[in-house]
Amino acid sequence: MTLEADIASLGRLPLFRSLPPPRLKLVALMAEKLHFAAGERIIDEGDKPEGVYVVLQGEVEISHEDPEHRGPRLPLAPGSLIGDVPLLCGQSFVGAVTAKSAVSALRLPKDLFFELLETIPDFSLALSRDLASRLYRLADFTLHGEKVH
Amino acid sequence: METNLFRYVWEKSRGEQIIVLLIILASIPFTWASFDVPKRIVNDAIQGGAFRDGRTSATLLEFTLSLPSFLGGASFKLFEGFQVGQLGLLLGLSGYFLFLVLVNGAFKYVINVRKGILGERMLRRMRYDLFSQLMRFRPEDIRAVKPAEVASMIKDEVEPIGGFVGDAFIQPVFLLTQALTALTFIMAQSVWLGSIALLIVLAQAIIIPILRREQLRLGRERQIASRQLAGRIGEIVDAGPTIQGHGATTYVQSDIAGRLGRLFDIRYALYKRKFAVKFLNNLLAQITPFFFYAIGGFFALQGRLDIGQLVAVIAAYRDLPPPIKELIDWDQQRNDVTIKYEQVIAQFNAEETVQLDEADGVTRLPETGEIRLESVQMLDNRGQPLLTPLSARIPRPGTVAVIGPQGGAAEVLGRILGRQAMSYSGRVVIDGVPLSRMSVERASHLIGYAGHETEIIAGTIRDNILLPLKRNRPSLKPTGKVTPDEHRRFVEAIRSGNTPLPFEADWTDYDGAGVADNAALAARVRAVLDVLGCAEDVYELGLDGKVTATLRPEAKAQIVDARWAVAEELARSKLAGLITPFDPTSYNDNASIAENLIFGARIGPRFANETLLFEPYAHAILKAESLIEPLVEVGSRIAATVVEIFAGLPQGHALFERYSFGSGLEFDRLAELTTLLAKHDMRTPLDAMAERDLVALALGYIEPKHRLNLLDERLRRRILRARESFKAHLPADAAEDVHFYDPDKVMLGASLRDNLMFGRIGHGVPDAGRKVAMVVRKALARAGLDGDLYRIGLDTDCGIRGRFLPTRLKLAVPLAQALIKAPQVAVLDIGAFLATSAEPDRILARLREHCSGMTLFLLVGDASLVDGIPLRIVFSGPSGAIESESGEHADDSAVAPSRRRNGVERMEARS
Repeated sequence: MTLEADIASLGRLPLFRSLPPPRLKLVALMAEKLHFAAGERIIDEGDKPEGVYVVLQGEVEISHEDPEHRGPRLPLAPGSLIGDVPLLCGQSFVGAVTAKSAVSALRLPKDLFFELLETIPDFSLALSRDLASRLYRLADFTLHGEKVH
Repeated sequence: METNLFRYVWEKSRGEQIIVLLIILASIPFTWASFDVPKRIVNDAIQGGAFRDGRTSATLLEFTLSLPSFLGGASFKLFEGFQVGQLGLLLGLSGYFLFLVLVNGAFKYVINVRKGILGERMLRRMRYDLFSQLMRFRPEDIRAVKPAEVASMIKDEVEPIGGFVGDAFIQPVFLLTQALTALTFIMAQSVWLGSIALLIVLAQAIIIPILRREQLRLGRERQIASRQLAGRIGEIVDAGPTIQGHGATTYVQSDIAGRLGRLFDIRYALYKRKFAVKFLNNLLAQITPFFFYAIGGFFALQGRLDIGQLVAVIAAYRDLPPPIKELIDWDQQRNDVTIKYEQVIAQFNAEETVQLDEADGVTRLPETGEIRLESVQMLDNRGQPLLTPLSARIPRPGTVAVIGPQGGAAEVLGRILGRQAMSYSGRVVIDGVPLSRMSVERASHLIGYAGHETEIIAGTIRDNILLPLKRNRPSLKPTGKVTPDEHRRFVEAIRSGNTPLPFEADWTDYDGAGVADNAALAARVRAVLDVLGCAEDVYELGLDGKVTATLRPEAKAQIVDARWAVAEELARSKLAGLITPFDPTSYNDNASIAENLIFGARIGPRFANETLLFEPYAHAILKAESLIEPLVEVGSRIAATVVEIFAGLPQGHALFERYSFGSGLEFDRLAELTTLLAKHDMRTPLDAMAERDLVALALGYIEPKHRLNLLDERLRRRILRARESFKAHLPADAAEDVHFYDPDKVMLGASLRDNLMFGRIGHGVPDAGRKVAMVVRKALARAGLDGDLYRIGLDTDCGIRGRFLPTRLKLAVPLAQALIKAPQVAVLDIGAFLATSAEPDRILARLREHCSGMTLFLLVGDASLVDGIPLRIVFSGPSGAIESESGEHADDSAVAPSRRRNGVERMEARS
């Protein structure tokens, strides 16, 4: 997949939609493009986050492995951001992330992610919006018991 | 420091000033004689005064030493002199005059040189004094100064002061003696003419400064007015389209016209004033000769003054106005410089300073003792408490956990204990001695402090870690023969009041670290880093380090062995596919274009990307394979992309450096290149510098990394062809500049990682780097190259503020610095560091074991990390509570959940 395609798929994500094209290109260029085969483990539970993953294509699933029984599973749609929450609050991943189909993702290394937050106000604002909407959905879910995602 | 510039200068350079003043005094008779000789030339030689009474010869060059009359008035004839005729007398006297001119010139030269050196020495001393003064500030005062401001003060603002110092005493004395000698001489010839000259000089000395003052005021006004004009124009231009749209242009124009008018008025007044001063100056200078001619001539006619005297007076008058003018300048300069000096000094005279050195060495405290906190309290500058009064007794040695959020009172306590803050009330007493009274030297031996801010100075990691041990004054006794150059440097340092201790000497305090020599110290560094669990990080850096010719020869052979081991290991672990090996017949996608082209490691700058196109051999190869044009094309595309994505970001952006093409080109240059390319049409060739820079950009391009889709199969093939011919025709004199990739040889100039993997890790495979690095490390360990790898790792350059270091190492450096000097009290703000490591518990356990003989204060944010430590100071807000394990344990565990609950409540309240 070429850069142009990456930029196009990044641009479709709500988080990045508000970024002006040159910044979008910057994010796409700075990130590391990674490919995962179906079933491949992307992140282990309890890992310290080393970066933020943006799923461009394919489906991933976040799950909690319990030795006794299979824990809950949460599918994540393409376009999801993985790892920003643990990274921002200094915690480890709450669950394992696995590729359900062939996945291509962009990985923004930790320091790059912070660098972007610190130096590109557009990006910080977009991320704050994204986090806020996720928090809102979560609060909505816990209060009204409706389905999230 | 002395607040009065003149007193400071006199105190520090009295001797030299006096010498120069003596030289000036010695020069007076010669100046006098040079005034006197013209009189004799005119009277005796030209008008024949010496031959008046029928004498045919005159005496030249007789030397008579006369005693003043109060000593008896006897005279001794030292030299009889020559008997010469009129022409001889004329030539002799003229020659004498020439000689005097030369002597006076020589005096001026000597005085100016000495004055200059004096000024330079004082400048050096002043800079050094200011810097030393800064080092004596209390730590928080040092933090409060603005680095750029202080640096510019020490560097720039002091400079004119230093220049003036040479002039401070000498210049007025020198000029005054010159002027007075001339004036006295004129007086001696004729009191009348002398009085006229004196009057005019006095008028000059009074009127001109007054006029000048007005001139300065106008100058300042002009500056302000033109600055305002510039501001206004900028403002209007910003709003230009709007103003145009509203048709208010004429209105705005009239505003500018008004401002220009005011500026014109000021400038007009200034010109008038300036030329009035000039006119007056010239007039006064030239009106005196008028009096001399008129009145002097009148006296000459009357016979009260002979022609020779008149000529001599006019000649002497030539030397009168310049010194007066310079004196006026000097006075003005004095005003400027005194104000500047006072301003600078005010910045450097802190109310309280610390004592730097201990008079008679530092002795270690006994192994056991006590640290007492006596109602230690700190307020911020608005009077809000940062730390409420805290008292505690802490037995030494021991371990104390200080728990509190980052940036809070725990950190304040840490800074106080680490002697980084001194503006607290109450006392910290260590074995009966208050901490605040200790000298810097004593406290630095006693206490090792690591704060959460990391200050990394330029140099290698090793340099940084060993910085705290650079406290052993090197001996001044010369070890071998002292070269004249060294001797001169030494004497000059003493003369300027600088420390003569050479920076290059070994300052390491081996005893302080408790080791015998360099090797033991290296082991110690390693031990400390092992305690912090940083060995892996150093190894990782070592892999990126370059293999240089200085590596021991066995190691070089071992690297090749290790390379095979790595290849085997990789094949076994199914990781081989991650690496694209260096294969002479195929293009390596994960290496840059330059690496593919040269296919070897470059030593030295000859084939560097930046200048490759200008290197004749490389140019010939690129041209032969007609690669220049496609590379320029690739470079242009890169430049355009980079300019597009980085436009509008702050200068020197870290992201820009990250996405670099290894060409060291500044963003400005790239922007320049793109504008150049946009204007450029294809008919004319591009200018050579632009071409060079574009090729340099292209050479750093790696397709999977930069992902601009710029390499096609044809270009790859051409580069491969160029690779072949580059190797085949490499001139003999370049053999040492390139080490071609060869699986059986060590490649100098390439990184250890390249040497071991003999290929490049593919981009786009998750965690490939980490997985391969583990294999590589194992192979190295098996080959016994651990030590070398570690050494290379520690030799890594930290970069400005440590930006080349990974975060974990950056955080580890202050901790290692605090520990390496084996302090008796260690205050470690370790929270941030522990947060980055995978096994904080084990690090803490190792740390406590390592510091068993010390009193260890551990500053953490998360109480669960320090469960095993019985003595804790827990902060909430600015107040701290001391909790000790004895009997209060149950209470302690009761506290923790309640705190946790608190946290939850707070969060809910927020959302």
